[in-house]
Amino acid sequence: MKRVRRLSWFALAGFLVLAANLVRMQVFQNEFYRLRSEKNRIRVIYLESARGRILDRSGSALADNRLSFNCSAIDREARPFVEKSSAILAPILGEDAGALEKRFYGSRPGAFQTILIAEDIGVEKAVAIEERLDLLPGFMIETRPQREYPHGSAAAHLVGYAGPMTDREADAVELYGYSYSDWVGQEGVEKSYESYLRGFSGGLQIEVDNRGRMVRALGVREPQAGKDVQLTVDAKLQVFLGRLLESRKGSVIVMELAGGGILAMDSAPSFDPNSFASKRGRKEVRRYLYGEGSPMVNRGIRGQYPPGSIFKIVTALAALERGRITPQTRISCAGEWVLGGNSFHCWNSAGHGPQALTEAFAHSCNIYFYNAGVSAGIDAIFQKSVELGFARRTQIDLPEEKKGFVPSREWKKKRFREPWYEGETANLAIGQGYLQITPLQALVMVAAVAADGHVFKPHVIDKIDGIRVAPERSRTVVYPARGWEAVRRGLEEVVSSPTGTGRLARVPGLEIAGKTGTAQSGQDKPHAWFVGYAPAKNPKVALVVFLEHGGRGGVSAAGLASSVFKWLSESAYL
Amino acid sequence: MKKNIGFRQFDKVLFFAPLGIFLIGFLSIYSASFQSRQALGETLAMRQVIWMGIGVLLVFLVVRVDYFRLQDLAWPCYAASVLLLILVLFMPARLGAHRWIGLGGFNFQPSEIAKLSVILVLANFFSRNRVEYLPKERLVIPFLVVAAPFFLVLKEPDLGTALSLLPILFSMLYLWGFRAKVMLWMGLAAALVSPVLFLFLKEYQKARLLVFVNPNADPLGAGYTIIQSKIAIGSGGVFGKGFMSGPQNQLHFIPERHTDFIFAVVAEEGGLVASLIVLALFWLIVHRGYRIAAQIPDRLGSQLACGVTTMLAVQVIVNIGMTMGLFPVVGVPLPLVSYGGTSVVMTMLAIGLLLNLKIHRPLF
Repeated sequence: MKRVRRLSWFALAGFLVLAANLVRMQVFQNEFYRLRSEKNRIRVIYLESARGRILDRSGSALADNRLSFNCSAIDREARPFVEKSSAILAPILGEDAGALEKRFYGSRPGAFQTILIAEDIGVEKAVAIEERLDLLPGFMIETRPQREYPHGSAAAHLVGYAGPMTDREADAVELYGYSYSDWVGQEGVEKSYESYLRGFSGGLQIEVDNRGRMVRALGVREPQAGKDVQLTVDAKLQVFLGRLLESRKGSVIVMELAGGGILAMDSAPSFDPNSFASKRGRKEVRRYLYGEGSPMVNRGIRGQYPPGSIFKIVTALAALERGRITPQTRISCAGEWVLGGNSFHCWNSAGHGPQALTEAFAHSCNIYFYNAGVSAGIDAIFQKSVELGFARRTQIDLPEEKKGFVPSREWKKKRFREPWYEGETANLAIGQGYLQITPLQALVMVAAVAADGHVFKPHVIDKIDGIRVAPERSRTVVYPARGWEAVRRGLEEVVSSPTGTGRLARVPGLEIAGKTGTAQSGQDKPHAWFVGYAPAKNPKVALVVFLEHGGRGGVSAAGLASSVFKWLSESAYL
Repeated sequence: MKKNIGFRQFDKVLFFAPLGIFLIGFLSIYSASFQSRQALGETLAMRQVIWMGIGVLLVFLVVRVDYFRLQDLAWPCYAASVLLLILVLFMPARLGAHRWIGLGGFNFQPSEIAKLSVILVLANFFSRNRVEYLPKERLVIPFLVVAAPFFLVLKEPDLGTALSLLPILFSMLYLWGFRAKVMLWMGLAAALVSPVLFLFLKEYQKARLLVFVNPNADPLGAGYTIIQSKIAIGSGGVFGKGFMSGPQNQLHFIPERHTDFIFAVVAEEGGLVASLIVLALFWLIVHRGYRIAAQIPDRLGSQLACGVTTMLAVQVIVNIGMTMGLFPVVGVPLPLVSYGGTSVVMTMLAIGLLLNLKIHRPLF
């Protein structure tokens, strides 16, 4: 029976094709399918790690973590029952069922990621939902560490905030083991010490069935918490400054002269970093970012302003160093001074009469410093200001510091193809013109005066994970001690003299040295400055008060400085 | 004409090979449908054993009957199964199809019965008429015989079972002496008509066919089954993941894993070894079946053996091919391995018929 045999061969061919294909799949492609099988059933659940805390000098938290509860859903499991589930959830969450449904359908979670229905819902709601989970297929309560800033806006610029990465950031840091859901420091210490603060997310490897339900845990990598960062900052002073600057614009920075540690740095207007930590703060964040007054800008390191009369300190030092004046040199002020056909005015049109350096400082006499500056020359002033830290970053350990600007002969030539005029030197000598500085630079300058020429590299860090990492003083401007003495005597007179411009900064029982500044700023009210230190004979703390369009430095800024000195003295810093 | 009715002619291989296959099937069903805290007696696997018991009893009943007496039963059987196929269309749908008739707690599939009765009628017809002498107009009869159940089963809908009738018809036609060239032309015509036929398919059937072309087109929908089944088979490797330890099976990634896709479970947990054993046992049966068809001198027996063997071979090739993605997903069970009473009983009936043919064949 030939035909039956042919049928038989036909069937055998079919069987052999099957067998060959089995060998191909199970032997040669085994690895490929094995991996596919693993991927099918093994999922990784991220265990978010807690960021390190940010502490003040006494250990009280400036940035902390608390456990927060999110209500989320697994797409595939929850989808068929969303309407019913939303109806159950709505009264608990106090939201509209339709809105919850919309949120569910509106989100496009990645593979195996959950859909966030309600963020940070609080313990009571979380428990209420947990109790009804059997009626809510696919829904669950997830816990995660939530960043919290106990002092809110008071230390906002200094501490900064952490938030989800932007796509560009994610691309940039992918190599360092971040995942898209990780938070990164976006501002302040949160950003500059990100590499220590960040924790390493752990993972829970679980085996799931075809509906994504966990069958058993296969392995776990514990999340690694970030390291705590302790600052030199005093949270109480920070809060005090916050209140002081409320409804003003400006910045106050206080530095310890022992090591250059920042005691407090405040900038106003401010923002609440807690708004960035959850989606509920979206409205405020929008206001911060696009609203009036630029509250996100840390004016202490990113605001650049003309310094006004506080720059006379630089002028005096330059003239003294060049030997153009001595502390005893007397220059007479008639209220007006003529240079090359142009007339320059003192702020006191009646004139101060003949004065030596000390009185000139006390009265902030423009005529004296015009003379001193012009005789020292632009090059000497430029060199001295760079030595004292202007026109370059102070290198404080906070992100995106601005470096300000000091004009020079070369710059003018390059920029305008014009020579430098002496009239411009006169303007520069009293801190006007092209000059731009940050409040922190002003502080570093006055601190150098107080510390015999030590130009500090200010810092906020004290310890990381309990280990002291605060840097030593850096950069010393070498200069004869006599010059510093002379300037210091002048600054003491500013506050202590009955006619001193900074007399409002006085605190009974405390010797304070300082310099006021009132910087022209176009049509608006001038900027008010006060830089100073105390105690005058044995300086321990230096500070800068800057008020944007704050009026006369001798009034608003000096008054504010007085309050700060008083607080410092009461808190045993002086 | 003398007949050997002695049980010396009882083909032990043909009897024990199905038992071996069934044993592997039993273990696989147990593994695929296992639920903790379930007594062995309550498992699907044990219900399958009951069906197998009935099947084995039928084998011993069937082998006693002289198969020539089946000729008289052919047309009544055929009529009955066509009636049942009409009746099943009025039954409540399960899983979107009218495939089962409930009968006192049991459900059975008339389409499985129809397959055997079609073989009976065709064998009867082909043995009574010789291809050389048959008037041309009567040539349509075998086609009509197949067409009625074909379209009724298609209507259920059960594309796989309907299509599996065609190879049976063609193999028996071929054995009858029908010219291979003509059949090739018919196959070509069918291929040309099939796009038109495609329009009449249900949406899910279209999806399955399209997915067969590209399983990744819809990995969570219609393509899911093929992808998961291929993963299960491929990840089994040479020695398998072990009994009750195949993740694809145990974690329910394979749909219909105790019925149509049971082979994926066999291959995942038993590996290449178990897969090839199953294939080899099936081949033993098919090989024996065709040998009987070749050895039997009378045309009725020869046609019956050929039809039954082709039926089994087609089911095995289509089912296993389907789990490996070589065929589109059509609902064809793997004989004796897939869970399902009707399939087991009808398969054992077919085996019984083959044994019967061997015993009762006329010896010249």
